[in-house]
Amino acid sequence: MTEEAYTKLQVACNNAYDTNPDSCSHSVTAVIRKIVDPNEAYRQANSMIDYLSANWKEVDLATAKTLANGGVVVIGGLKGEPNGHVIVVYPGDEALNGGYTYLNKKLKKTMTLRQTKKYPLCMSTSKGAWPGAKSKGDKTVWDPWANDEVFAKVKFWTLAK
Amino acid sequence: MAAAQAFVPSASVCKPPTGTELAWLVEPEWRRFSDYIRVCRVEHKKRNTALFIVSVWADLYYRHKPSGTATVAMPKPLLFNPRGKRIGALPVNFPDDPPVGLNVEFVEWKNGFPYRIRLCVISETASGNQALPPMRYDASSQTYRQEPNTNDARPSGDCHD
Repeated sequence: MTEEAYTKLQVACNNAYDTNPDSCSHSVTAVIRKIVDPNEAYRQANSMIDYLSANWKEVDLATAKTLANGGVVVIGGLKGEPNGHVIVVYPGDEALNGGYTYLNKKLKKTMTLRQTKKYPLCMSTSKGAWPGAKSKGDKTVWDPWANDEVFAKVKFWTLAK
Repeated sequence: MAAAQAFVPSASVCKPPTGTELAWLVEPEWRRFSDYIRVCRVEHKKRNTALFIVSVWADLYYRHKPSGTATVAMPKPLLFNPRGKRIGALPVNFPDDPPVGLNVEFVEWKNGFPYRIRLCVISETASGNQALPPMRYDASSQTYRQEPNTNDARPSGDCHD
């Protein structure tokens, strides 16, 4: 049952990533509709975070990973101006953050983000250029924000029962 | 009252360290970055020096590195009073820790000394710029301490009042 749920969440994340590559809120909503509630309303990231804070249960990162590996939907998010960002915790083993290249506009050169710690994986899509925010389970929950102090502000929620 | 402005690390107030200032940095982690350390003088009304920010300038360090070079962890910026006493450390490298930067605002000046430091991570990653919990000067211990992550820390991500 758990293995089936694990695969179902993995497939839902993969499909959401493929069909909503430029919108985090649309891809997260697609996963929620597939696994949790087909009638879930669409909300933009900041509104979704407000809704999750009020209606879902906040969990810590270790719990988020355990739940995701059991096929349970866990959403991570951080509000921002004008737009925040939301992700789904992707099932699987933890992996090292960083390790990918990005363009440093100030220095006008590509750089490789250092690897510092293992984190759970994520499904994340984004209209922005930051490569850490584009993950089909190949980057971690840390990578969309890519800074320890900012990541400390990210919260995770699962459906309250 | 005029709004506080971010401290600008200009060449007029930020210089390579003197021998005395280098001696303040007792941890060995600073040694490999000695050519890239800068000491910024934070002044009250452009007259009296209130404190110094000592940090590794990432741009200087990476400027001549090849494209694709991996980012490295740099020592946390340290704050010293004019007598050379360490009075705190910033949580993120200043002015930059690619892919993010740090803006600092010195506020709540009393007797020529700023009792509060506002922190804003400048980021092109997901969720954009993010305010961090500010640092407050504790006169009894003569150190800055970061405040708990409360509502006062502007968790929405807006770095402006």
